[in-house]
Amino acid sequence: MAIVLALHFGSLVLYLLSFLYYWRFFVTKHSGRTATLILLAGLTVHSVMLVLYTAQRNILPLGQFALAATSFVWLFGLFYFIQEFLLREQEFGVFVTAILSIVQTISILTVDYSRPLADILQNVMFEVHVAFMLFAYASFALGFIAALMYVILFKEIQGHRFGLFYSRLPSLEFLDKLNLRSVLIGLAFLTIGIGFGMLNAGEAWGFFWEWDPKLTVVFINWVIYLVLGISHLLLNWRGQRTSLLSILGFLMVVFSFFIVTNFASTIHTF
Amino acid sequence: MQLTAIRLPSEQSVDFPRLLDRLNSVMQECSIEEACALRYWEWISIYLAGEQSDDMDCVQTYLRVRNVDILSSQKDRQAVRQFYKEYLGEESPFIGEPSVQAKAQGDFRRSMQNGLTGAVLRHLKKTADQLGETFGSVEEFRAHAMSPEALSGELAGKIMEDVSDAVITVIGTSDPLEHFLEYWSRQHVGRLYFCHPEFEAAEQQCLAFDALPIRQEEVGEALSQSDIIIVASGAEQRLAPSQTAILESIQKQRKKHQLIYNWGNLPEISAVFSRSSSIFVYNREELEEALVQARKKRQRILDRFQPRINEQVEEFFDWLYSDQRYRFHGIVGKSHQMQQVFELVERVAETDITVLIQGETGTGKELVARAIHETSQRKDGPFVTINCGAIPETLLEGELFGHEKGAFTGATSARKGLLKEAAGGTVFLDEIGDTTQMFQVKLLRALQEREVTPLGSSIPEAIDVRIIAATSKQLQEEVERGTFRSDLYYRINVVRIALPPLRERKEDILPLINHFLQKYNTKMGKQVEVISKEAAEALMAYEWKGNIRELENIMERAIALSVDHRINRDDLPVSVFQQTEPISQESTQEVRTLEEVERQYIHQLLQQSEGNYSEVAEKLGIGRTTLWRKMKKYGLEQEEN
Repeated sequence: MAIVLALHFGSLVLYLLSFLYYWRFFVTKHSGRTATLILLAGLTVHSVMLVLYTAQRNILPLGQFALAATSFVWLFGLFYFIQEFLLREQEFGVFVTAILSIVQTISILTVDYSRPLADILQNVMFEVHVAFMLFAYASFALGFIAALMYVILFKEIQGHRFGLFYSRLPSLEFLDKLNLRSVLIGLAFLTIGIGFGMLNAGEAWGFFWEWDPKLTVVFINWVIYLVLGISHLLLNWRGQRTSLLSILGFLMVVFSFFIVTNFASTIHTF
Repeated sequence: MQLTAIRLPSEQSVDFPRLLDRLNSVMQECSIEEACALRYWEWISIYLAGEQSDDMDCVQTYLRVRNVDILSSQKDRQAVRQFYKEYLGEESPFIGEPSVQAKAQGDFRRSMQNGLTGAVLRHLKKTADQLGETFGSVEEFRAHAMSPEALSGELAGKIMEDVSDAVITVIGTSDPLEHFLEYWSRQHVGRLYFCHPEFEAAEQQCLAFDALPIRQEEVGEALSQSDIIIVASGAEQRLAPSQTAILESIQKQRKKHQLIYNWGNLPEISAVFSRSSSIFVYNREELEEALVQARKKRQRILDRFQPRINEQVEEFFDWLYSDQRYRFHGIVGKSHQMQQVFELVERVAETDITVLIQGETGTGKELVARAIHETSQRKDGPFVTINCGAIPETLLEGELFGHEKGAFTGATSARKGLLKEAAGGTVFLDEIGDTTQMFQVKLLRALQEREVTPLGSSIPEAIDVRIIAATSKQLQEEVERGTFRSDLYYRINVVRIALPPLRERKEDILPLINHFLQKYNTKMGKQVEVISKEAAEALMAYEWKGNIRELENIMERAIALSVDHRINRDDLPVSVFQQTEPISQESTQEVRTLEEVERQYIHQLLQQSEGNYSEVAEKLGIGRTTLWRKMKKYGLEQEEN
């Protein structure tokens, strides 16, 4: 487990370093390539860590909050990297790597590799459920960043101030599309993820749903993204309103994933 | 050497060719050696280089007499700095944009083609180009939009991801209307509408910019489809109330982003399109403010480059005050004939064109050929010299075209041939006039087909060389006499560089003497620094049948013989003095003073040249001002005028 911890820590250092380089890139437009390479190195170290954990424990690293968080970091980093590779847009890497570093730090501080897995969680259905949820959250996180950028840039353009964001960020339309795409993909995964969760609950607890704090927050979350998706698909909402919904939705994700899980009493393990 | 920059109002640039002509006559009048004109943003700048500072005053007087306003006038360092700044577009709103530099290059080229420029201005331009490369690589220069049209493009780019199917409507009647149309037609947008109160005028403009003209009454409709609306100045035309209604209704349904660039401050536009979440309206003041900010930002970047410019100015003056400026790839030449040769070399080097160099023995034909090679793209390839006059014909053929093993007695192994071996480089054929007709036929074939057939082989092989030929004969005469084939002559005489004999460019003698002093001092480890006045005069008066090679030999000998640190009369061979002919044959009997001789000689030359002072001054190896002074002294100027 020592190696896993070392790798866990090593990936955090690399994420922090890539954050510094993305920051430098954002301000000066220099060394963008280095930033990307460091991020890639961080993701590689992180992947090795996750694979090693899985090999040693013979379960996916999803069984406790800290491990799910680090898996989320890995997924989010990967999504961003794919986005950067495909769209050649690395201006908001600084925000992504900031989130990666924060969540990874929380994960390292709270992780306990040796804690045994609760019995009810020891089935494939549970792993599929968590995987889908994390996938959805990583997608929402990317959408959140895009939406946040959209709102900042929008304010700058409309307020007729041509500042740093104006000179650095891609176009509004690009950010809008990225947000919508990420949120719609995330919504699909969230829906499936909740579905698997309910099946799990049916087996473990004997009932599919309970208005427990965690489950309630997740439900609200789903409704927000659903509203966003429907309003876009049916009413062609986009831009400012969609972005605000996406930001709200992701704040709820953070609330449910970090706050409710750790501080409210809930029957849901994490 | 004095440099002056004079700024004239931009009206002068309306007829640019005429301005260049006038510049030419100014140069004649005021004995300016070099000039060029650059059209620039709000003015036109002329740059002058001449020996004396009073020549520059002459130019200013010339312009004032002709009622040309002079906006400003700078000298020396200031003038050079101004040249760099204008060449790079520093004071224009478009600094750093490649188009500015391209325009300056174009204008300079025109001055060059009109024969106004010389070594000094050409070097100035070359260094400005180098600076431009440094500047051009700085992306930050292009990071900010500097003009209204570029700002509209930048804003559109920040709002829309791409404009390739955007609909643009431009309305207005005056500046910067054309800039907007030109800018947006270059962006290849989906559709570009243009509305002008007079439909015919709109149609006219649209032809040039690939836009669709629309009538006044269609404006509302066009605006409703548009993603970008650009209101240029002079759009004081009012929209009809019904159109305003259309705009209002679209404004409500519109879901896509829309940019309204209200440069002309059309009141209805800003009234109707209040700030909604998808429509961005900009009025004139806001846009101007943005442009001012952008200019400030650019200025900050530019300030970082000031030291580099100043450094370049100093480097330029270092070059100007050294004899470097009379050198070109190891060739020394101050005379305008040689400067023209240098210019020609630079121009022919750009292409692979065949060049014929004609010049007496010892005029440096091989050096010129080498200079062409070194200036050209092929400079990393081999440079092969072959003296056609020195090798028997059969050997020459084998040497050039190659041969198979056993092609002739003694051909014990196969040979590739120089034309083949020098692939990617240059072959210099010296004394081409000494070849036989048979050889000329084969050479012509090789040049024509760009392939050679080695002796004893039947398979032609492609060659990739540039040919430079040289001769000391008058090939035209050889052709008439039938000793040189006319077809080959026309094939190699595409560009001819004629090297003038040394006696026709006496002002090159002193720089050459200095050059050889340096060369042989280093070679022989001597420290001969000066040449005595008498010795120099003798060398100036000598006929130089053997041209520079002869001068070099005499200098080598003189340096070797010199005992103190100077070259005296005694160090020169006797022949130099014997050959010096009396200045005028008629007056050998009577003894005259030096002044009389001088007066008569100048008079004679002036008559020969029909009053061309530059020519006379060059022949005498003195500056034009000196000539002028002497003419005054001997009362020759009244006669001339």
